[in-house]
Amino acid sequence: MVHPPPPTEAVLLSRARGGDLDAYEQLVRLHQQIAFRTALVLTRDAAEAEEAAQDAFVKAWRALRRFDRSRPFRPWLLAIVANEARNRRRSAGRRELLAVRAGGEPTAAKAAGSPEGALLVAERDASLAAALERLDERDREVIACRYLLELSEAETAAALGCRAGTVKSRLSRALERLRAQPEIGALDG
Amino acid sequence: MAELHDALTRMAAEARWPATPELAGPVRATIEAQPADRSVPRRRGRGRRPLLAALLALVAGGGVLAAPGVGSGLLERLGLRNATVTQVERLSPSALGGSLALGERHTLAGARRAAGFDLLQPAALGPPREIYVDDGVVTFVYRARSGRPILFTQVPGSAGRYVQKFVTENTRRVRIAGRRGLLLRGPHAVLLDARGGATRVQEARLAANTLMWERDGLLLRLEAHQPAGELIRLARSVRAG
Repeated sequence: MVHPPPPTEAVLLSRARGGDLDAYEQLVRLHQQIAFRTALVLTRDAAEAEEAAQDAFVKAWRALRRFDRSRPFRPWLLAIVANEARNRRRSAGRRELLAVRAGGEPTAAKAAGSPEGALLVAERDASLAAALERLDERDREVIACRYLLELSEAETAAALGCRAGTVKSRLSRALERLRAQPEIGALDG
Repeated sequence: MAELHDALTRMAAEARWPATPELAGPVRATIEAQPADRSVPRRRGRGRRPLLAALLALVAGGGVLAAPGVGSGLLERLGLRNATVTQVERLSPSALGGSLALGERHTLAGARRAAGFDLLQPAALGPPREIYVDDGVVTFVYRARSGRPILFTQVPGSAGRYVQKFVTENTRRVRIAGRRGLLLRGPHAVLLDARGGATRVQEARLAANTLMWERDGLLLRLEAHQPAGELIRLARSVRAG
């Protein structure tokens, strides 16, 4: 039995703009992971991130007519998600940290080539995680967008609410400040 | 700097993200529950909506959620601190039939006096046809166009009171005028702790959809043979009575 290929994002967008909720549901499924994770980076709270992403999708639906179809959908969506997430930020003490493992993973061991090497990698990653935590929010967010979320510069700009041209310089400065952390000096030296 | 870049890249590859929640269903339910948007024309969906991911399945993968900590923690996350959701294999037959056992019938004024709290009412339903009070639990009964009843129940959210629901079908999160709630599909039964600590069973509720949310210190339940979107629309109309 031959199944037709799934509709492209452009087709789904076109249908959704015409009021097709089925098409919009598919669009939500296509983008819900990156929306949730982007919101998580910004809120640092899974429940808040889920709500932010959910509300963002609802707002995006209502704003679909204003979406410029000559532009990619994802940065536009992420800008809405990020805006919702920022509105939901809670006090820093209640935020959960991103579940970033600081070592002992198979890839780390493989990269290190030996148990001793893996241990070294683990210690370095733990140092890196600690150093990231000490960065201010702006620096941490731009690093998270580019490295953790692997967003493009345009998507990072949308998520952070800045111009695309400033993402590179902002990331560069954030990395410099990260590198200036005591643990990272030893790592990168 | 290259080593820093490598370390960040490796950290990204090893990041353990929380599972992405299923958003499509709740997003759709919210859109359907909202007033028609002028900017996007609404069109009826083709065919039956896909079943939404069950909230209970997310945390337990089915089976019995007997551990109070699991359910209560989840619901606390949802802002439903007075409620615990438990999944069971089968409902008690007595919970699916018989009388509604809603308590003693009252007038609205009498219900206000008996309840001891400010009553709320879904404005979209107009005045209730019948009002019952059972140990501080107030239930308004409405009649839908189909002739079937619609129940709106208000439970005081005092520290000594909780509600335990047995859910056999899908459960999903919804938003009701900015508040978090749960939509429980299908048959269910409710256990209530009566004042004084005794547990009482409200045996015969409707084997229908139930919306549950909190407001003004009350656990609110709206139960009817109505689509989810309609229940949410009714819930959004709840006002001080």
